[in-house]
Amino acid sequence: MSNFLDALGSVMNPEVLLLILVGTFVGIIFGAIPGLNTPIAVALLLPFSYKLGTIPAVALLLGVYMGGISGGLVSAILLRIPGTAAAIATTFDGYPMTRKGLGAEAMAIGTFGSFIGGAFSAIVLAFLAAPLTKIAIQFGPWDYFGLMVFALSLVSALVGKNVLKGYISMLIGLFISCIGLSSLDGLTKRFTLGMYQLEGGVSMVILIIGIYAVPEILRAAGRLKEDVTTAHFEKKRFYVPGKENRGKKFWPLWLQSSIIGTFIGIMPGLGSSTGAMLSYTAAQKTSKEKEKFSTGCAEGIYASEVANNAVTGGALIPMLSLGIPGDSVTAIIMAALILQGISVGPLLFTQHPDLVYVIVLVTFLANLAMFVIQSLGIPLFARIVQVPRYYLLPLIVMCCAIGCISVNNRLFDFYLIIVLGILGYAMENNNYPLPPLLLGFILGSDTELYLRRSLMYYGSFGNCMKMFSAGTVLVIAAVVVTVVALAMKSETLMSRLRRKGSAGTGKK
Amino acid sequence: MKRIVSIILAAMMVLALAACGPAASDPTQAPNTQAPNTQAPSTEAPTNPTDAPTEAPAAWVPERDITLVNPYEAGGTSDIPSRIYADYISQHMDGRMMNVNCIGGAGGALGAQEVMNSAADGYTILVAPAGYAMNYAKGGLEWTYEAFDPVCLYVTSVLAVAVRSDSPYKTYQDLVDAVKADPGNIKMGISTGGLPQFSVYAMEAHEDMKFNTVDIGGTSVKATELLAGRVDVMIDSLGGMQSYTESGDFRLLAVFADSRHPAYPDVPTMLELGYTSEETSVMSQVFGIWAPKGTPAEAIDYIAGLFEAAANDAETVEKLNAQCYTASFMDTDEYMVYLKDMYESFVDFANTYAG
Repeated sequence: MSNFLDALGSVMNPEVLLLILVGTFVGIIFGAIPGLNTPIAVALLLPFSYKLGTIPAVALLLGVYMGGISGGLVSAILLRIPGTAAAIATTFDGYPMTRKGLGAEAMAIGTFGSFIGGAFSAIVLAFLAAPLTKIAIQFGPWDYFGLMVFALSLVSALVGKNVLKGYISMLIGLFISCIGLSSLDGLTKRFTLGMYQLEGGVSMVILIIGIYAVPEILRAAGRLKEDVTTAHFEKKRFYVPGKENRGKKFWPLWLQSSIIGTFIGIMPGLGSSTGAMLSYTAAQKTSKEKEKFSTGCAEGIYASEVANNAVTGGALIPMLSLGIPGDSVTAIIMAALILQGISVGPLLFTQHPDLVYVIVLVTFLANLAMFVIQSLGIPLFARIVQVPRYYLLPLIVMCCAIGCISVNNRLFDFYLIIVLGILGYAMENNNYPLPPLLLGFILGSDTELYLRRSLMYYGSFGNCMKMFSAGTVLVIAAVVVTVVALAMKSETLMSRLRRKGSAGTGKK
Repeated sequence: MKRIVSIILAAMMVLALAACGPAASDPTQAPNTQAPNTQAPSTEAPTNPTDAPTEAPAAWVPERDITLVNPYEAGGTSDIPSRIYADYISQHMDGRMMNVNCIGGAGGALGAQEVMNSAADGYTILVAPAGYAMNYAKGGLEWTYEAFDPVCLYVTSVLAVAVRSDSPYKTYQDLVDAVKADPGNIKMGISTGGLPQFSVYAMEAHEDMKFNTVDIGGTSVKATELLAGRVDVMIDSLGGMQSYTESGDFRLLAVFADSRHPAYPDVPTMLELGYTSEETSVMSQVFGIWAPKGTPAEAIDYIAGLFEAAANDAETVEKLNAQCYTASFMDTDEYMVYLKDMYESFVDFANTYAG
């Protein structure tokens, strides 16, 4: 308890509080602009953090982390272009709400949801870090493989109206993830078409801009005149979700999404986009009003935003207790701590218990700061959709260009964006859902890596399947989901054909 | 009215972005403006070679930040010393910074490829581990240090064999006996494409035994596999395992060094265990700095000077030692000789032991 009070004392100091605010603000900006993302922001601020001392450095970097994950919702909701990969699932219900003129409300819901998820995961981090770590290390490569295959099949089956097209989209994503040097040993160049620029693979930022932003710009350019969304929103200083969008009936959903997000966070490598998408599909399955999803409902936004911020606290758990970062941002934060002379790992909790509490408190406060800053910013953000599209679109193109140039400093990526944009446009216009493609891309190389590792560990796929483990169960579950989904799909197809057939014969 | 407000807002955003624009596009412009400058000395050199040396020393001062590419995961064995160096260097680099950028993947080949393909202007340099020589020797990589302009050697680390504290293998000999009794079934965890892969070959050849060698990924995640008991034994650098030995989770059986490590006086070296220095020569973890081929000599001298200053800085040395690294510096000429020997001994080793 005295440790906690010490930590509270060191966090409640103007410098630390200010750095939390600054970090969160920078994070929100980097998150909201498509093409800039949280790892870039953290990497940029890392050299400054060296000079700050341990606690202020932690405050700054965690602030960026929390702000960045949440900031992506702004462009996801208003423009249907996810600012970061974490906000992909937020577009499903966020953008339809904007189309109804409820953009501000949607952002308020997302912001509030982010706070709930982040706060929940901070509490889990404070009280359950040690036992959860024990569970996490029991997950081996085979279990990760199972988990990833399960996530891929579940999301492909449930997102989008046509199951088969969902799977095709996911497979395209897996294919794109194969481009470049092979992930385990780097011995083979795959699908590079002789272009060295492709040897490093396609980067996430490029893919999101290409698949989401370019088609959105093309589509909007096609309906310049008729489609100036008139977002009439109440003039308020501070936006919180309306009464109908908060309260008791959302409690189960919040809890469920928080738990899914935190759990996915603890598993190194899965990341917040996977957490949000799994949470969304779970919310859709457990909801009593399934048909409301994807039409612009509060539940859909909560499911995504609660979960993606809950991932943050989860991802800090293995980093602090084992020295194993949960995602790319926590990896950089860990490096920062090591440079401050803190050895992150099994001894942290006994050697620096006060620091653990500081991290918990900062996580909580950064989420609070995110909630306040973002809520204050909503009226400003909401005006974006009032800007006529012939001003807005060039701006978006410019944002995207900056984003894509910032990745590798080369023009090649710009051409790549155009190619991917055409792919995205063609797919959307033919009702192929894009989220499975992105998830396939995000999880693709790790799925391959863990499969190859499992084969090294246990010799053959048969040996892996013979084991009684979570991996085996999940692989079987993935196969079942796929078979059932495709079978149901073909059944509706069959019944439709039959109906058509009988209608046809009836006429004759 | 609304229209005017929205136009003003849009204009503000354009301005805000325009302000960001130059900053973001600066790096892309700079190589173009840089290119004539860097080429100038090389085209002039043949005509009046006497001029070059007098102009050269003062010529190169960085105009922007230098990117140090670490070809492995953040927080790993190569990342930590690089960041410790970069921290010192950033304070002594004429107002510019050295930023570490982690481009991991494909056993370190991805990051190397990135640097190889970037402009040879001194603003992008690579952390080069001994693993590259190993990967070349066993046919995994097509290029050697000759595809780059080596700058200097800056840090060394020591590999060690670790098991879990509750493992039945109390000594190195216990492990050898167990592997011999059950060939191909004791799981040895290493990172594919890293130096430990050769250490395993050396051990297998020397003792005439066979591990089941499995990939457990980069330093920051691999410890889980031994913690959870999914592998029986692993080889990694001391720095990466220090926190687990201190916490009592891991026990070290041997270190790949010529003399015992001050922090672990009870752990025998491979020499003591009957290995020849030839066998252990391919097991020492060294990290150098490589620049893209064609980088101006003045830039290389400048960067090597920065690393030398850092290696002599007491605070930097202390930070490195705390993480079980040694600040060993070699200048460009010395390092070139070292690299040549290293590549030769790795190729010899591969021919003799790994088949």
